[in-house]
Amino acid sequence: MENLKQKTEPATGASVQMTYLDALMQAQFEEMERDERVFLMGEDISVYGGDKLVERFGKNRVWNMPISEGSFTGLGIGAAINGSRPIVDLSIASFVYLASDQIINQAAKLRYMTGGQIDIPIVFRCCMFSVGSKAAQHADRPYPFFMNVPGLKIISPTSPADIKGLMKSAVRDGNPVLVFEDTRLWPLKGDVPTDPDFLVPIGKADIKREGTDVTLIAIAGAIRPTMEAVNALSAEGISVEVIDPRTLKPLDHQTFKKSVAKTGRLLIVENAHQVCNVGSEISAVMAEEAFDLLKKPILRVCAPDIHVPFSPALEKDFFPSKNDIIAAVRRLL
Amino acid sequence: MTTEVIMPSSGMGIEEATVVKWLKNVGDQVNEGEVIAEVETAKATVEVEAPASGTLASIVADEGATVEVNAVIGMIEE
Repeated sequence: MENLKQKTEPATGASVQMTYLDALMQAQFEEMERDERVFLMGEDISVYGGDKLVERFGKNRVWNMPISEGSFTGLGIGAAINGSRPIVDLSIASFVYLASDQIINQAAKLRYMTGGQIDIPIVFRCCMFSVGSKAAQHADRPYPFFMNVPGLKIISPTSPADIKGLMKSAVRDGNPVLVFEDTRLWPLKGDVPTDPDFLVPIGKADIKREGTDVTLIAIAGAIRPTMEAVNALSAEGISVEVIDPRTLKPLDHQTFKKSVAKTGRLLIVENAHQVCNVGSEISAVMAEEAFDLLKKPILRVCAPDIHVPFSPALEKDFFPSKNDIIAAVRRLL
Repeated sequence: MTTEVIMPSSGMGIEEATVVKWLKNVGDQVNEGEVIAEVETAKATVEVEAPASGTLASIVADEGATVEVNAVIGMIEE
């Protein structure tokens, strides 16, 4: 199956304001309109926001699945091999573990194993429900596991326009793509282009805010406390450059390096556990390729190497907060 | 007795909501079960019902305020 060519320029036409969740639904809706090979399968998908999709496309293209992630993920991969372009909604990112053999051993490897004879155009949606006492077995942010697998692309958009544009790029990509959406971002509103061919390219970071003193790379839901921290610091005259990678695999190291060349200081903020997370990878690459640009050691602010607590009192202090981020920026100055 | 009006929980993944409109003013009489406010989440607009009958004694979360679910948004004096 062909890889559809992607438009790389942002759309210049009309846009409307909507939430992150609505932009995500619109992306799926438009891609299903555009290409009849696209269909949706997963748990609860005709319940949570999926009802409009069922109304428009019928139950032949919106499949409710049993609680059996390994089997329905395998079914989706088989459909992709045979010419469909499924969007598999795994509903909670912690459930992806159950489907990981299918994703890693089949979806990520079959093109390689067959010498390029098989394409697997499939999208896996993994929603990260990290707060609100979801507790250890439902609150994981498991994208670092999958970054360690060759053959997968991974996106983690943080704005309504980016989730729409990147989700559409994922559907059109032609390779297995994992979408890690942080549910803390669902209510955020922003301008979203109405052009049905508006795409955000996979692999390109976005500079959310320009700055000169410190480079701050914020991953997924960490963008919210990051922007609060950076606004507070800006009132004191501290200028932080905020970069949202948007894609976690491949990472846009060029954009990171360009910013570090300007600031000489690097902080990475994310909600994944600290051992072998995205910050670890970015730190390693910057140490290898941009060491001479750094004026201070690289810092990371992330979740500790313990499980997410159920207790609201403990959970409140678990993920990076505005104050943690402000303190880390001060350490770098 | 004072009863707290709580931001209702409206499903998995909805951790916050924004007060769109208070349908009652401070000092108004309210009846238990009566819709007194409308709030908006990422998924839907939800009605908030008075948890008790009495007088709306205070509004804690004004129109436009975004608060976490289960937060106190107002008080009813019985």
